[in-house]
Amino acid sequence: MVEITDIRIIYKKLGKMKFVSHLDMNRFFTRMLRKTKLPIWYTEGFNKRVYVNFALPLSLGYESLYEVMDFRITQNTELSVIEEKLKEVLPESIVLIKAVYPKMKSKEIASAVYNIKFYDVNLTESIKKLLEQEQLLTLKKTKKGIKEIDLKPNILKYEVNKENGNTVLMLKLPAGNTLNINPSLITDIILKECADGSNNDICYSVTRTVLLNEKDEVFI
Amino acid sequence: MEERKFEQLLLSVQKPGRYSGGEDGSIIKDKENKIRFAMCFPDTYEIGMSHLGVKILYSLLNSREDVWCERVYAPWIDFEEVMIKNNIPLFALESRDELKKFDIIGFSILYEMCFTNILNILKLSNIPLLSKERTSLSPLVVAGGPCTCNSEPMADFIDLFMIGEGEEVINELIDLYKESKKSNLSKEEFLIKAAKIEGIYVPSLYEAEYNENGTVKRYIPKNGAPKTVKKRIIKNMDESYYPKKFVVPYTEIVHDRAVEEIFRGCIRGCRFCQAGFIYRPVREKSIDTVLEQSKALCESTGYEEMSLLSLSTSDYSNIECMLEKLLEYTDKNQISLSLPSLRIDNFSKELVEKVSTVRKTGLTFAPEAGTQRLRNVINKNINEEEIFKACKTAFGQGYLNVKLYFMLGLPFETDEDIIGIAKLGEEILNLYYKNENRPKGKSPSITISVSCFIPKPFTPFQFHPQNTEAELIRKQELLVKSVKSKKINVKWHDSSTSFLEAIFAKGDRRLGKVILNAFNHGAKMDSWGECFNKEIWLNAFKEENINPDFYAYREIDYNEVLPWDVIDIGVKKEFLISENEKAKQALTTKNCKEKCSDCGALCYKSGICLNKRTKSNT
Ligand code: SF4
Repeated sequence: MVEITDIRIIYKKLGKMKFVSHLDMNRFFTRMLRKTKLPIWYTEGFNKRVYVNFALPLSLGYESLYEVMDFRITQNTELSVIEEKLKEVLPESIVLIKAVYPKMKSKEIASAVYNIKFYDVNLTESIKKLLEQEQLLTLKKTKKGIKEIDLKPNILKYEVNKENGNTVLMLKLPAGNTLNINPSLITDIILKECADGSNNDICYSVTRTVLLNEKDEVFI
Repeated sequence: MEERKFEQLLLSVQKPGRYSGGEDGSIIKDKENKIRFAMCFPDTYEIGMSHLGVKILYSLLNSREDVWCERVYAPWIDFEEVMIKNNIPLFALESRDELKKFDIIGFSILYEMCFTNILNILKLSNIPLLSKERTSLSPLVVAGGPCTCNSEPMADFIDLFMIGEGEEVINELIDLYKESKKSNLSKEEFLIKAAKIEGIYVPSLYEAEYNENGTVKRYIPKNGAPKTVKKRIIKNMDESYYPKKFVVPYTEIVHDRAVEEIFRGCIRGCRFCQAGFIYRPVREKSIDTVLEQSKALCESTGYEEMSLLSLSTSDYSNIECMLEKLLEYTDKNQISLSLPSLRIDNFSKELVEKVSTVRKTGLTFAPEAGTQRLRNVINKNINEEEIFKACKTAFGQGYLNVKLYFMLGLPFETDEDIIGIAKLGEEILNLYYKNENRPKGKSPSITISVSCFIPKPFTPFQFHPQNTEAELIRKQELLVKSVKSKKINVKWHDSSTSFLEAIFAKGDRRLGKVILNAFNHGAKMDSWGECFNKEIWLNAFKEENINPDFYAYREIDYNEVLPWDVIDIGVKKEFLISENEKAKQALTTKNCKEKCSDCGALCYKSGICLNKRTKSNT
């Protein structure tokens, strides 16, 4: 009998890796894990493949300082060895933070925190004003079609700051299986409402900074 | 452009991963003191990244300390629009530097329908399209690949062509370039020297004269350029360079797997097939080399799939032994092995089963012609019994789908041959129903895929005209009418690009202005149905006063001087003529393994030509 152990890795997804979609990340990690020559567990059945599971998908174009992926190994291996082997094969835009034994289940994820940087300092006041409104209506695509939702109650926390000539918006949004709010819903409104139409090519970048559970503990 | 602005623009287009670079295995170097080479593939990232030749040359060039080779692909139209709107010149993926900054821009030309993409890559880089308008040594625009065995249509645009296999000649070219750059040679001085390297064709050093009837009279070499340029080949495949690592893309591409080339050339000599002649002679890698290279590649890339590459793979001398050893490794390492063009009939059942666990997609055959007579004409040595036997085996193993490839418009084809295609399909279908072990409750499907025959240079059929479009359509209709069963599917390729392919395959340098005209009127991505616009091309011929039918529909006389006579691929013209004569009588020619037919490729003194066997006396 082989002993199958779940391993969880926490890593940053940076730079050019932001152009790699969630689906492609699967293939990417499959190959990276194979390259480590660790005793990786494959799914059973006709089409054997490396088992990998991501805690929460990340949209194309976003960076992240806290990504979580699980895989399995078939022989007891020290976490430090796993970390070492992975570091050997990963490109510089995937930075391994640590390997752990999972403590929480993916479905416990309740919220995610995003840092959205607008490369325009003049937006600070207008974003503040926008987010102070009582309602923030937008159209959201759901499985049943497009419906209007109010984003305001879904913004669990926010902060708007000036930082080195940029406007930085921190957003805490519901995440996970039951309700997942993509920050693009809010950036879209901001670009439409605050950029006064004249300046429609404001650059911004989104970084997910952490995943939290119901009790606001860091997901691990 | 600021990085963040650039990234934002990337995110506004489809598949940004095509343009972002940074893939595992891509090579970043210090720019100082390097010859900078832009390896351009004139089609999309997904297609270009799948091409082995480019992978080999990319690694090979980067294995040199004095060279940094980077990759360039044709942007898809959505990104091209963004680039133009935002004044972004086309860039190489590794450094994101624009092409103008490079020493050498190299194109891999695999098919005629990418000619306009070559021009577009230059235009998007703000580099003059015509060779004579680029007066300085850099950037030098070079090209290679199978299509360059007749490079004449692109002669106005490309400074020099590398004819044949590039692994050796490209190093010699770079050495000369480096030296010339150091001693400040002019482009012209450099080209005159380059023409002295075997395998390098500098079109500007040849003057073309034409007869009154429009055919070529002669090519006059200037400044010491050779009368004919001899194709280069790698003599010993075990000693030739092969990459230990590939650039592994993040996004999905056409062929995303480790690839091991097991031999070059083909023993068969099908009379329509250009690859069967221009890559002669057959040169194999030893089993040890195949194993060693396969392992190195799989380990460095992490690929979970690998395939063997060659023409007619099952002709590898000791394929069963090689596959057994290879499967031992791939099985142990959870790698699925796929084999292209495998003839199932010569294998033991166990082996077939092992390989088929990999790919249950179905069985493919390329009889190419519907009757034995026509198969003899084209020298396709596959007979009905073989096909039936293989289909029986396959059906017995649970395969449901059979795909058959045919060509329409072959020389000496009659309507009977076309009806024969339908008959063959039906007989295979009957075989399925006769099979006692067939899976219950499942329905088989036979696909008949037909393409239009295009006469290609350096084949025995180069002398033949292509069928007119009307004739091809009539033949397609006849085929469809002849197919009775609903379980047989007929698929065909659009014949309108075939017409252009025929023109450019056998074209001369007068066609350069047609290509330029079409490009200026918006032709690009011509191999993509959604982009191809035939009207633009027909109009270009009209405006440039060139009759396209002359190239596609004219029967070529044996004594005619051909635009590609300036290239020597080893196989002699007399051999092609004798093969065409045999075709007339539906006589076949033995393959190189059975008997040497003295085609001319012996001049390379390598590979199969050196095998001990009786030489042909006929
Ligand atoms: S010289 Fe003979 S063996 Fe060599 S490629 Fe030609 S026919 Fe084949």
